[in-house]
Amino acid sequence: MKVSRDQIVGALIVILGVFVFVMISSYKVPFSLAYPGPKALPGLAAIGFIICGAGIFIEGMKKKEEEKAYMVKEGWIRLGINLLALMAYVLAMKYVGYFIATPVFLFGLCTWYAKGYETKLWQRILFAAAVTAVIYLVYVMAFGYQLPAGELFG
Amino acid sequence: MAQYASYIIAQLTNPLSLILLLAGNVIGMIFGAIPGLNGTMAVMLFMPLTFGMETGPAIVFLLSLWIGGCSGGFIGSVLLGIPGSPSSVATCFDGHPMAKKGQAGRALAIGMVASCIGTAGSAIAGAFLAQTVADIAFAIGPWEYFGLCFVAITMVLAISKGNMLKGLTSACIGLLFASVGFSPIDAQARFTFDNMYLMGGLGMTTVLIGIFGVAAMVEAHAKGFDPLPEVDTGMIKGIGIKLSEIRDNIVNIIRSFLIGLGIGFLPGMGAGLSNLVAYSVAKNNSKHPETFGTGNPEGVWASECSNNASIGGAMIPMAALGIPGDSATALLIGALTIHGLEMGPMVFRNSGDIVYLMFTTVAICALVCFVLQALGMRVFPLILKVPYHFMYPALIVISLISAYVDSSSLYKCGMMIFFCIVGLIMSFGGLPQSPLILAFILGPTLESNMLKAFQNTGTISTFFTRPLSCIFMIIGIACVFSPILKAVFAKIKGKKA
Repeated sequence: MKVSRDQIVGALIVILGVFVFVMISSYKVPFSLAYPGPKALPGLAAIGFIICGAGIFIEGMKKKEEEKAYMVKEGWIRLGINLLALMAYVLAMKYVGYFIATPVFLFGLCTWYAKGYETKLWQRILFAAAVTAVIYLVYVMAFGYQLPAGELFG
Repeated sequence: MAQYASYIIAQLTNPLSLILLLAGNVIGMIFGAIPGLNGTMAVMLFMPLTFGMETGPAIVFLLSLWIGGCSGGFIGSVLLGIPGSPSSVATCFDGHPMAKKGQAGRALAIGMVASCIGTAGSAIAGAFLAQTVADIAFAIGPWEYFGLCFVAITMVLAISKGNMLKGLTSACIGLLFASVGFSPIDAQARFTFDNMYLMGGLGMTTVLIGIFGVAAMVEAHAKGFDPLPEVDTGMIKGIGIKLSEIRDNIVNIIRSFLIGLGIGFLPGMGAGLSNLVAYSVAKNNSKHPETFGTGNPEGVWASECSNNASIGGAMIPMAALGIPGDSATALLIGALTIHGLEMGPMVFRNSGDIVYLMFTTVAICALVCFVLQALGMRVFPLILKVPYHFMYPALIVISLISAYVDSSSLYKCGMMIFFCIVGLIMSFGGLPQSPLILAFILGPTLESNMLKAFQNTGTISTFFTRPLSCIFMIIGIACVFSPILKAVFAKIKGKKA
């Protein structure tokens, strides 16, 4: 039996609802009709999750027509690489700082995103350097924010 | 209002404000024009930049981004037939056929003039109406405020296309994220996992940019960029609009303006709905309804005038009640809170100068946008040629840097990646965005007013015994159950027939 997207999402939402219920059950201020306290808002969300999640799951079961694929296999791979690249960029900023991590990340991402399009190497290098410089000028020089210096150099 | 004139003039003639106003309008227009981006995203991305600014310039910049984004939406609709933002969907119906017939210049000019009339007119109307609404709001208590927040969230559900359960789930996710941190009144730590970064709650920048910005860009790349169609620049010849055309369409313009203003005023609704309603009303009242969809300028007038009129409409409840009219005003309320301004009736007494600065800025932005668009009409096709492989990496880096400067911590960047994954899961499941934004921003107001109401009377019945609160509750509940109600009404109608 093929599991539909709605069934997967519905099940995840129900699990989230149960998790929220378990979490709020430990709060000291009790829930009462005279004063619902801090459990009310997350509790409302949890009830919503369980009801809606179950509803979405059932609707997913009832669906008869063939579902259009959310993404092809290559797309999932690209998605995974994108997320890993983001994590690597954040880690790189932690250790080597903004000035090394950002141009490298921008150049790499731009080169990868431009696959199949016509771009020249100098354009990508210029783009990476220019964006890094503009962000620095705007955030640091104009508005006085600090950007990560990197643990190895900071 | 006149007593604030000197403050407003000082703010708007300040060189920094002028630069920010111009930059905000240009950036907003680019975001509005490019399919996949919009003015709300521009506000989201550049909001952290304003945290270190004085309140005046910060407001000028954020509003310029928003107005530029709303105003620029018609460019993609006319030239590509792809709406730059949901507020310009109806503009595609006739704007693009006009462009195909060689009337791109005229269609763009109508968009420019209609946007200017809608935005400037609604800002002026809003400035006069907001104070009256605020005076009425002094008479309402936490029960009514809770009801208003409830209506704002549920109304978005009622109009969310497709599955209502998914809209409700999205709103619940927003409420869950809003409850992270210490609870109001009882100071109970919720979902903090003893992590000091979560004690103060989830930052708006991290959550919203992660879910709606980074996730959208990463997903667009994973799915493969669709190259935008080529624009024939030869289509843009002169402005091709005369004053007499405005006179001929005056009824359509006024009607669409009022529809936009009214829909913008309703909590939770905005330009995304008003352009479609105004278009359909214009079609129904036209002498030639059969020409709609084939390049009738009346359709462009209606859509563009109404979606921009929703701006002033949405600003009235935002300023007077602290209730957002749409997603963009929800973000603005959050940004203003960071600047120490709590929107609501008291804001007119405590910071009236800021409120009128907002309305004046919107009116001026409308004129600036008009001038920029008139001067840069031939540049529009170039905006649509910006390659995604340059644009998206730059925006992703700006998003992550925004998260960093929000707290000077890379932990927030990590959290943004987490919320990016949440956004991808939401997209996978087909969960809509607007209910989450509204519920996340309104969650704290909703909860604190609910708890205050219970502290006062200790019973739920007061929500239904106070007339205004009862009306709000009934509307809210009706919105939640609207699919069931619709089915019941359809059945009754079917039986009668």
